[in-house]
Amino acid sequence: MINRGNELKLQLVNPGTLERYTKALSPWFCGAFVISLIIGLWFAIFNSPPDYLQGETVRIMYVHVPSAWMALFIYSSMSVASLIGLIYGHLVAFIYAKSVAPIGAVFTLICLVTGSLWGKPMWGTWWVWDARLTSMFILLFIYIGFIIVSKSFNDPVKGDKISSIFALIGFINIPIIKFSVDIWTTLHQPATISKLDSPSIHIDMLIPLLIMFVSFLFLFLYIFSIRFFSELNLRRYVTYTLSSK
Amino acid sequence: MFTSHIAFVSLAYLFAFLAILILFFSSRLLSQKNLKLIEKIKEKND
Repeated sequence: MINRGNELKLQLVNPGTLERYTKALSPWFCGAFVISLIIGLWFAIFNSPPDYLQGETVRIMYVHVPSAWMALFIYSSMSVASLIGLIYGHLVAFIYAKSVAPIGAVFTLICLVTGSLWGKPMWGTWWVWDARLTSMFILLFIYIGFIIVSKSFNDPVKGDKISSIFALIGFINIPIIKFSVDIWTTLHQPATISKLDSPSIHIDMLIPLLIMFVSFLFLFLYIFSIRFFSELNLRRYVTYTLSSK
Repeated sequence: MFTSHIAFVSLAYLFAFLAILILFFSSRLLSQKNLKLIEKIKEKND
């Protein structure tokens, strides 16, 4: 006997239903991204104060930090989806992980490049092999590795399982990135926003940072809706060609 | 010093913009390519 709650859950994990939802929501995600980006950029470039030590360079933070958050969030969600996929063997979980991996890789790359551009004027160097920077660099390779592994198999079921195991092994790097600045002595500064007591950042800087994060979140949802639909069509094609052989 | 700081900020924003643009267009292109595959199946079945 299926009650209404379970029925709704079953509908949501149905690829066809999810496709309809993502298609309907896609323009809204795009609109929300554009609006929040305009507001975020206006705050970040014109309406936030320069730092008393870093001057104007601090404005790189409004791109660098949200990208880093997105990179970590996307990988964590990918790992959860991979775990669900491995346990329940559900197609939507596998398709989710495969669709979001390139988005996470791009956010990681943005984080690394903007961090390097921030490091040169502030630290006097483009790059140092400290724990935070190195673990973030490793995350980029984990993303690339996942994309390569997931595309390396003719049999999509086998590819899904092996890439999911790969994603779960790679998840070890996420807490390393988060706590690297607390465990090791690094040139990278320790946590500023996600501290247990209170964020050590002025509200005038915190507001644009959070708006830019929301904007990147909508961008992620928009591009995910495109990629999810695309991956679903590819699966349909592969299943059709395999069954007609 | 001020001008050089602005240059670093501009480069960072420009890179982020270009990376997002490439991600968006590659996703759209891939989506259209896979949609054509489905249309091919539909034509075959018709």
